[in-house]
Amino acid sequence: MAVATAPAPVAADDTRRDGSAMIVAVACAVVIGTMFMAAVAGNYISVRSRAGGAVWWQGTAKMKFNNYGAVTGFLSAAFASVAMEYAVVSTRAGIKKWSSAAHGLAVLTMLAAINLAWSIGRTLGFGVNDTSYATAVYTVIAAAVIVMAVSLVGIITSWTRVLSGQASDTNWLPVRCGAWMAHLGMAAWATAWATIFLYK
Amino acid sequence: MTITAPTSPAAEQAVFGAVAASADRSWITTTDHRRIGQLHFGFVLGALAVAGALGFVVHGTVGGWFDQGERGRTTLLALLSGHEMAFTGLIALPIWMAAATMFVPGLIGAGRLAFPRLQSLVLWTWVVSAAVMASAFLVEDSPVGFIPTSAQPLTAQGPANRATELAIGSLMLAMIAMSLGAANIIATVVTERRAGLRFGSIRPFAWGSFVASVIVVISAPVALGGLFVTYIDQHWGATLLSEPGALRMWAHAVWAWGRPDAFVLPIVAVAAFAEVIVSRSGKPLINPAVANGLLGLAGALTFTTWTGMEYKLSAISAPATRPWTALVFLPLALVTLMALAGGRGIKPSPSLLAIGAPLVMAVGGLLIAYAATTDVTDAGIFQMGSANALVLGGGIIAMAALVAELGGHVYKRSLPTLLVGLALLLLIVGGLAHAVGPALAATTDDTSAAENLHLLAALGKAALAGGAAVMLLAILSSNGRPTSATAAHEEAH
Repeated sequence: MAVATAPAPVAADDTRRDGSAMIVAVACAVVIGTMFMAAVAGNYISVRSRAGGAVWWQGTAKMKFNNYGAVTGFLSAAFASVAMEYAVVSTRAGIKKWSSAAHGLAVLTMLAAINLAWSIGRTLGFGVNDTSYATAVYTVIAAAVIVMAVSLVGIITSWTRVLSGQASDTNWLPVRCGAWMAHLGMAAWATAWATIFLYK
Repeated sequence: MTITAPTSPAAEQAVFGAVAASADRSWITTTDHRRIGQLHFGFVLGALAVAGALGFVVHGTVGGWFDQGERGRTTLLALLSGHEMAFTGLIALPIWMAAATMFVPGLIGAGRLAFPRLQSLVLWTWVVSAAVMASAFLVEDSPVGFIPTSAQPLTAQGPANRATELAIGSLMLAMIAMSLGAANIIATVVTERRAGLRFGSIRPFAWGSFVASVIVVISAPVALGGLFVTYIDQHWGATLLSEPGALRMWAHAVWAWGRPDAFVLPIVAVAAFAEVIVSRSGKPLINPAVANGLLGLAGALTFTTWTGMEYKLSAISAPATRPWTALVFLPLALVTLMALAGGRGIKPSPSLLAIGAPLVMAVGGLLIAYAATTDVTDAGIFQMGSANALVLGGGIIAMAALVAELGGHVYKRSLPTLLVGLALLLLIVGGLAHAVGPALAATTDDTSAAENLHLLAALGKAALAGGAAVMLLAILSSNGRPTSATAAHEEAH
């Protein structure tokens, strides 16, 4: 079968630019964030499983795993995700005020989740270098905070688009991208919560 | 369906120069992917010249350093660390990214990147990464033995100090930049390609770059995570990397040969070789869809590196520890054969020295196969490390050949034949000497002969650095005003 392999000459404005490139880029960002969290979580699970599972408690007698805080952090991040989905619906419906309010809620709740994660990290009751298990715990929490901070930047970027009128019922892809970033932030903390607090 | 002939000069000029007229002329703020690609190439070739010079010092004086006792050994390891870090962080994948930035939009009929300013950010992140890496060697206690191509976890290689943290940070920056650049290439190929252009019909280098980008987007963040763990472990003086089980994390995340992205450059090297043949011959490959499928298969096989459970510290080459990973090279060999079959009867050109890419990779593959059948000792850090580098070195040759073939459309006039031919010859000969010298040195008990063979490797590194410098010179000499012919083409379009 003969197939064309060379591009025919085209004018510069003959290429597709419908905003879908941003969706692909954000999908890549979600993959990058997911694999980053998978790497540190995998390292944590590997450390925990060493020595017949006995490594995790060595030298960490004073440890305080605040599961209530971790759950609240997850719920906060989940609320941010839901708020961003609401922002998408509002934007598609052309209701800028509701979309903007949903963005504001998402920013506040994601900030709350980051604050909780930070607080949990400071009150674990053991130091980073106490044991290899301790190092792995701090690594997972710190990685989750970084990913949530990046997702917060995505939400704020989407918010500025709405406020400046660059996102509308005919051009709502930027808000969809912001929503994906919010989901990424939620998934990051969910990973930390599940690996450290649910199965310790 | 008819075959679209690859390209009259005017047609390709129209594709590659589609945005030339409206592009910002500033080098710093430009959104013209060709200028951004040129900056990428300038940066990478400069880094290659520096890394080559460091390698020359390491191999050329290896015996002398050991004669100076512990201090000499420390200095040698610091130099080797700089050489290895520069290669893995600032050269191996960035040289592909430079070529992809420059040529992929034109090859898919787009004339632009999806996010051109993001690609500029990638470049400047690499520049910052290079500055941080250089600063690591300027502060007290340079990073002794932080060698990403060594299967030894960091704590087994050298002490924790500020310099090592700076070195880790520089590689983290490089990984972030690589991930962003790869995401940009994916977005460009998926959303900006010419309407009606199917994945099976995309030209070899554009498709190879897409496959490589997918690998990087999936695997580079894992390396980033590994470096993050390494940084925390070093910064707080923890013991995580000293644990026996840390080897698996180190090998999968930080060690260059345990990661899928270590195989990216061979994939795009074969794709670039095929691209040169297609462009030269004016004919597509025998079956472009099958060729693209094989490149995709090779990309999928790179992930077998993550299936290895245990690693031998003494064995530095990935296929030596997991034989099935060597299967990556099977589809690549088939694509090479398909390209060779299409190359009969075409006119000689300096860019046809791209044949050096698969040739050099084949020699490296044979050395790795040799390592797989023998018990590699600690001397293998020079031996098989160089063999693996040879496989990657094929990528550098291929990218240089691609610039020679397609660069005339980017630099407004053809690159000087003599300089391009000289640069490619230096890269090929230097690459071969770079690997064969240490490999033979490890097999002899004669100290004098071993030193001479290391000197051969040093000369090979010097040739590689020289090849990079000559290539840079060729690019600079071509980046002037367009010739009357190309000016006429631009005016016509």
